[in-house]
Amino acid sequence: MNRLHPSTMVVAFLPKLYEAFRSVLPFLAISFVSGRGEDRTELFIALIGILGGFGAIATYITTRYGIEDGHLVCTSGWLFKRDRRIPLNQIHNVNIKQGLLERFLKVVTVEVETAASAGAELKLQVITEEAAENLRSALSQTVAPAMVEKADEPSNVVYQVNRQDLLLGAMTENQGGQILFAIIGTAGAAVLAQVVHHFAQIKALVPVWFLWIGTAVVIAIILALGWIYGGVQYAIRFGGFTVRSEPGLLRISHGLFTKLQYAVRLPRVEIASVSSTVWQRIVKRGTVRVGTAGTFGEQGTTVPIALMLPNEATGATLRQVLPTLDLASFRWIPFPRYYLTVSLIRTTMSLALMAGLGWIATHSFITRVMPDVTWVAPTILAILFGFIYLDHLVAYRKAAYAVSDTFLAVRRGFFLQTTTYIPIQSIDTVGTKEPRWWRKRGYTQLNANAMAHSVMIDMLPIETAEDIRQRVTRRSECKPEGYSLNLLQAETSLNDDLPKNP
Amino acid sequence: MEIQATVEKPDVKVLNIWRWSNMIGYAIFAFVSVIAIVALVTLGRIPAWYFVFLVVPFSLWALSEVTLKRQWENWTFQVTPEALDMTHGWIWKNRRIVARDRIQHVDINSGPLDRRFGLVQVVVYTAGATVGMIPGLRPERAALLRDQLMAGRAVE
Repeated sequence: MNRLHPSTMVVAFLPKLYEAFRSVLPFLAISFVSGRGEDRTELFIALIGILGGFGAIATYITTRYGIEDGHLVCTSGWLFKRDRRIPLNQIHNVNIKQGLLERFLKVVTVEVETAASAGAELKLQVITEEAAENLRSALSQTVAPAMVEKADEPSNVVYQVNRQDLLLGAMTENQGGQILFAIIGTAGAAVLAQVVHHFAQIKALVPVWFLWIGTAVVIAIILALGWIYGGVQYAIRFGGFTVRSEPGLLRISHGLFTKLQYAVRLPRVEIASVSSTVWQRIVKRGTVRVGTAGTFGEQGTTVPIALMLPNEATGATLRQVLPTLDLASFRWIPFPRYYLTVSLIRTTMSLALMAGLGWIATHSFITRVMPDVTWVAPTILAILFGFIYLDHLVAYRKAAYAVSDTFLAVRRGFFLQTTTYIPIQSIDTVGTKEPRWWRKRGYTQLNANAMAHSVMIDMLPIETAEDIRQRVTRRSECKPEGYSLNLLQAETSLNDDLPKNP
Repeated sequence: MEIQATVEKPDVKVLNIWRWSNMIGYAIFAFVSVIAIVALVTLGRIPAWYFVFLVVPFSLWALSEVTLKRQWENWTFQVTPEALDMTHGWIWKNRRIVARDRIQHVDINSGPLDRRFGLVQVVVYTAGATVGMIPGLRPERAALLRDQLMAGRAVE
């Protein structure tokens, strides 16, 4: 059995300290804005940091890992001992992550995924590059040779994002509105009210029109800064995005500072999606993502296989991972009008609840503490309500679903539009749910679940749901041909289809 | 292929289990509510008329008692050659089809109340997650159902 690298104590500890700092950030902000400095929040961070430090040391001392009898074995823990054994043939993904600090220390974090795990089934944080290579070799000799990263092995690059596309993606992926809501969510309405409170105190010194222009300028600056920040984050995250192909496998790597690598086994792809923001649709580009039965560590359950892909190349790219997918054969059916009515009623009910809570907060707290800014909460709520209604209305116009012999597809969203494709062959269960009043009108809601992903059609006729159920239960009769392990051996066609950049 | 499988229901004794579970759940709810209201009234934080709110757990319990029979009437399951088909719900109708060839394992569980009334639950799993639970089965029917489901797809 092998031990972790001693730098585990540093690499595992720093993120915990960062998490601790981030969790108390809103309190620090309130403390700073309100001018109260005696909260001793730093002691709280120090306490969490010390506990995290002990945890990191304990992880290093107690963890052992290795391969025994066809299992990847990892034992850890002192008070609560844990002995985890993963059969090698159940390993779906092996992800290797190397952040800036890890790169400096020449160590890596290895994440092992199985179908059963919602995230990493096993995380080895951290081991040396040599140890990772030894583990890779050991896994290669047993069951899952294709799954393990081969860091320096030359393989065929089928897609590489160029600088122009990366820049275009960075400029069009993030949205100012989302960033504004994120700021409200992070800083909290109370902090914003405090800021406005201070702002309102200078009302007596300057004319009102100047105050409004100032507010507009501040919001514009926040949006612009958020947009730049989001763009830089996108560029750092997806810089050097490269897809390599091997028989039955795609290897994807990206990241300017933290290098992320993962492998997608094509026979295990059970879902694919194409997403695009409003701006990306204007320039006719989109991002193609795929999901397998396992997950991809911090990437979540889906990973991109092409960024800023021209619309005309989408079909060909999707066919490389789902060979029977023929976009031209889909007949898109819009959601019924009743769906819009239902979603607006639901939204109104939840917004009424929010408004009620907002009213209580305003009258019980803000009126008493900061009487000059009681308009802040209603204004924020009004903007939020307006945006949510607008989102529902515009998204409804785009929402549609399609059923073919071999696929189920759903399109939804406007500001971020996503079209999801799930092969009927991948569907394990089909669930429908409808209240009596929907049933009277002949509608139901359908959920199609694969191993790790699901697709929901919010409203469709009961007969269509029955048709989908029949297709799923009798799918052996419509099993697609040519779904093989060697999909990408026809490299030339993939190279022709995907834009390859220098 | 025509599906010719019998539509089955949980044993009627499951109603007793549901009644008892409901009663225990709402009794705990009522007990916690009484303690909280008594404490707050004693401390002078709320007026005594807040005891009126104790009617909430009792009303909910009474409502659930009325709907239990309906829920049982609407609970059905059917094992077809290709799938397990489960339907339940009265106001919200739920139906779930589980492809038999995707079933990974089947558990038979029984809690204290189940054992008191001589019934068990069958829980069905695919690779992804728990996909269904059939309550109120007699142990012999549950064992047979498990064997049926674990045999995989009956017809290819």
